[in-house]
Amino acid sequence: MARRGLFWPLFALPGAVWLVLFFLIPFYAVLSVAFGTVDPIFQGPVPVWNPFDWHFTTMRSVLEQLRPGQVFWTVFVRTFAYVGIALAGCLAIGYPVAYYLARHARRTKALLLVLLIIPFWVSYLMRMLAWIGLLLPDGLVNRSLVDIGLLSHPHGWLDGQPSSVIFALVYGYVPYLILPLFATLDRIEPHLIEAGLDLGASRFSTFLHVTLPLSKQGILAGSVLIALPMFGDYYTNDVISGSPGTSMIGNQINLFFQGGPQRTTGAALVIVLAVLLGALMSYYLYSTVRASRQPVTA
Amino acid sequence: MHPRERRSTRRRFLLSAAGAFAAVPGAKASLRAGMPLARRAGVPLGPGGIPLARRDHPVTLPIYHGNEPIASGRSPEKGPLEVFTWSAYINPKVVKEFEQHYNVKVTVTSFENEEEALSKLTTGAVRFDVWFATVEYLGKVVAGKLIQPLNHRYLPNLQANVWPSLASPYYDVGSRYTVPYVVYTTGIAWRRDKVKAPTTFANPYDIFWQTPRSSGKVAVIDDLREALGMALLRRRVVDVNTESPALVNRAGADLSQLTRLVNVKVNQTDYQDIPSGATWITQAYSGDMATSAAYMPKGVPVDVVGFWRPQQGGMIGNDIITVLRTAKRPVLAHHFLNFLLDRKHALENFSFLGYVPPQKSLDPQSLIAQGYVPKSLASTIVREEEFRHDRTLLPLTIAGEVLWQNAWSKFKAGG
Repeated sequence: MARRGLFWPLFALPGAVWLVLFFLIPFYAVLSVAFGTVDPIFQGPVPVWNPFDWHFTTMRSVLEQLRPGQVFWTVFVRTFAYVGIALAGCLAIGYPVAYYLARHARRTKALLLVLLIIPFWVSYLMRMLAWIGLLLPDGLVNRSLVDIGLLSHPHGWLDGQPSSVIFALVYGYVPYLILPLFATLDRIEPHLIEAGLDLGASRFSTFLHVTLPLSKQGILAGSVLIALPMFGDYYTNDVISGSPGTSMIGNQINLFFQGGPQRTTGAALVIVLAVLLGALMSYYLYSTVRASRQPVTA
Repeated sequence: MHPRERRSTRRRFLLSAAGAFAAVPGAKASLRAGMPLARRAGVPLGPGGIPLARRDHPVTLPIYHGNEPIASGRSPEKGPLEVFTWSAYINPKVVKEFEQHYNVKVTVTSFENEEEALSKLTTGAVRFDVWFATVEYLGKVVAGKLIQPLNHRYLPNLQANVWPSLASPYYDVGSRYTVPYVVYTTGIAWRRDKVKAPTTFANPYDIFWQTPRSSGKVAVIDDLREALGMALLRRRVVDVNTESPALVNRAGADLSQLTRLVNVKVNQTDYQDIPSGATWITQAYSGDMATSAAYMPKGVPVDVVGFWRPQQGGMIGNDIITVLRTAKRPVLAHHFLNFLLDRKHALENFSFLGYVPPQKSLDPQSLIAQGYVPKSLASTIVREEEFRHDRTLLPLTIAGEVLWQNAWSKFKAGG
């Protein structure tokens, strides 16, 4: 019995080892750097592994900078705004696509799924770099828009516009949202929707009161999946804008990690961001646990 | 004042730097042994306790026990030679010629910035023989014994070919650890067909702040020392290595004003953005602009690109080549350095990079006549005498580095 009792839990072992090696230990290393010291010659970070020896000066000054009007407050607010808008954009594009795939695409479903996966074949960075050529003053986008008369002269897409950064975030992350959404929508029993229609609800009302609530976990899972990397993203802004006016928190973290004597500040910013995202994640976990305890009663 | 800027007195940073120096194995021993550390009185110390080099107080770098130059008269090792350099910073043709001449293989590994290189080297996880470095980091890497002193008997081209001012430069008197690679100036590149020239402004640097209808078309180099340094020069502050909080913070505030006025971009792509027209005005390295002809779109002549720098008092600098302390092939590495200082190979590198090698025999006019540099970009060619009056970005104290980085962080936050 004891052997049978261990059999299934052992399946979780590779995942647990993976989590410890590549999440818990690295995260503790970031903590040890944030509360650690700096090499006196090269100014590289010197992690302090013993929590009783941690230094809190850097974290205190980072938290001071998070007060309204201070440097990190500005970038945090901007980051939350960009990620919020980009997330809404991803949902606006991703939900209808996932819905169509799950409910209406029949013979074309496999083909459309393959087409959705194709962007994963090209690295995120390469896809962003490709946009530079497309969005240049004499790039394909501007030439096409001028040719068809939508623009009188080329638009400065790469001139440090917040809209370009948000558009690039939506473009880069929307495929990651569609797949979990599709998986959730595809699992909804068709007879639940038919029951709604049979009981006299309109198609829209059925969607609003049956499909949408049942896909809530997919929306949350997809949103978490794309929001977390978006919060730490710095490359999209660097490539598409490069302007301090669109700088995100990831850019500030990168600035301190790239060089200079304040790597501990970069690590402290990572901790602050992780705590904020942890709060958001808690809601997702709470919602998931609650949903798993409630039987479907439509 | 920026709250993260810890107020630091001159005494405190001298003490902290001295403390750091005491932690360096061998540092005290070298002092006892009478190794010269330049003038110590009144000179701020950098990380590792080595005085900060300035033109008016040259530094003779210490040679530590256990890290002496290699002996003379040895034959070059068999290879392969491991070279660690900036991305696309050496002509592959020159590497090939070295391989053929010495019958060895050369492996070139590139890095994107000096901090990345330093991080890799200090972990000890990577072993290279030759490292292309910058003067800014020289004190640190000497104090940390990352590089080894050079034996000049293997480097006859240094005295024979290199400008005298860089054959024994003020940052490394006697070239104990380094040889110079290329020289550069930092100036302003602009599109003549889009905006007025810097010289039409009473203060040419005002082109960034005062050009109308240029939003999104203005850029500064993504390097805190270069960009803040330019803002200092605009205010006629000649000490681009100042550690005055008032001056550095004002330079940061001036850059932030650029964000509000013209939505300034911060990047390192001057060499392609000016030719493509994505940017009309940018802070630029001379070498990047010298090669802009290669990036011009079809049908756009290269003479639409202008490059300006002050006749006197602009920003100037040079990169250096070193041999790493852990080099497995130190003799071959010395031969490689000497090879790069040969006139023929230096010229081949120039044709590839656009950055001028400090060679005595290279005549600026002949570089234009031979088509290496377009006539319209003659200002990208650096001359030796300019090192006498132009400004160079040099190492700061630790407190100074914190001050500059905080001003940069504030600007880059876009507040």
